Amino acid sequence: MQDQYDSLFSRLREIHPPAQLASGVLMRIQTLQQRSRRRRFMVSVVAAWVSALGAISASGLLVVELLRSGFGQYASLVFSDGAAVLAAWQDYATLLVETFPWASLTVALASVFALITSLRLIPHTLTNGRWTPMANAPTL
Amino acid sequence: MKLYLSLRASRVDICTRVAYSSLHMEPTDAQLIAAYRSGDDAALNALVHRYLPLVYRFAYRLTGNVQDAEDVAQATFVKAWRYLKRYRSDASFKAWLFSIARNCAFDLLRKRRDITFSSFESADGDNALVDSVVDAEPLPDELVARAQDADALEAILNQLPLSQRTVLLLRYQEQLTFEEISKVVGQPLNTVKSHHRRGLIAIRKILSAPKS
Repeated sequence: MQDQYDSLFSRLREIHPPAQLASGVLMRIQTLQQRSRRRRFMVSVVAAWVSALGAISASGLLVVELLRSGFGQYASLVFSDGAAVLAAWQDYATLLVETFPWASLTVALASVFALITSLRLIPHTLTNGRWTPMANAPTL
Repeated sequence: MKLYLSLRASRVDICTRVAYSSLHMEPTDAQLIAAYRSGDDAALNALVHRYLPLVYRFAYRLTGNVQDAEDVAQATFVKAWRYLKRYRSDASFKAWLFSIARNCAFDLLRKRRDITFSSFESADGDNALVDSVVDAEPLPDELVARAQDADALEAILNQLPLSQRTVLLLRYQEQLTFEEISKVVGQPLNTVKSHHRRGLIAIRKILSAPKS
């Protein structure tokens, strides 16, 4: 029975796509790919700029916070009065942890990380793939 | 260890390429997809050339006109390219591609409100006209002879409900298994087999009808 219906369906007229359809499809995909690549490039450039500004601001804020909190002064005690620091090292460590501007450091590191990531993405969006829509199918 | 593995992989890849070139073997779908994911755009080119005739033919049989078939074919490959990252390499690429084509065709027909059902068929696909027949019997030779003409056969197919026509085309023209068809149309296996059975019964009834 299967063969009968196979034979029946084999009588259907052969349908062939128009000659230019394949190239049309590939051109369309290429256009979308280029559009996507341009969008990714713009996003990475904007992200790089924003993260660069953020990194600069956050770094400046970190320095200000370090000075304001007195962390620098407490840290210098190690060099000026090492014996006293050793004698009460636990309290000293707690003092350093409490005065260190962790939030500012986190923001600064995050901004730097975002900057590095977006800078790495920029060349990737520029060089990802080149199209040859009219090329024949490759054979190995 | 990593260097050894990478060198070994490179040697395997080179050996594979030499083997294929010597045997003139076409790369498989999985190989082409892997190549495209690695950055080889020509691999997607090859996939399009390989499946465009099949997808176009399927789309033409569902939509019935050249322009719609072109639109469906283009939409299919654009979606396939867009979602290629989600494609699982253990599944049949052909079935996956045809599921996209089928959905694109149905979306287009739905927009045109061209999805019509047989006047005897309910929304669930039950057809009072064919339900009286228990099972699809083999076609007698005389009935097969009536479908000699390609136009006549196409006219018969166009009379079938879209669900049955889809299953029959995927089975007999695209040579998909019932399991693959079930994934293409997104319906249970029994439903697919039911559409298949009803489609064959409908063809038999149309061929048996006295010629006007």
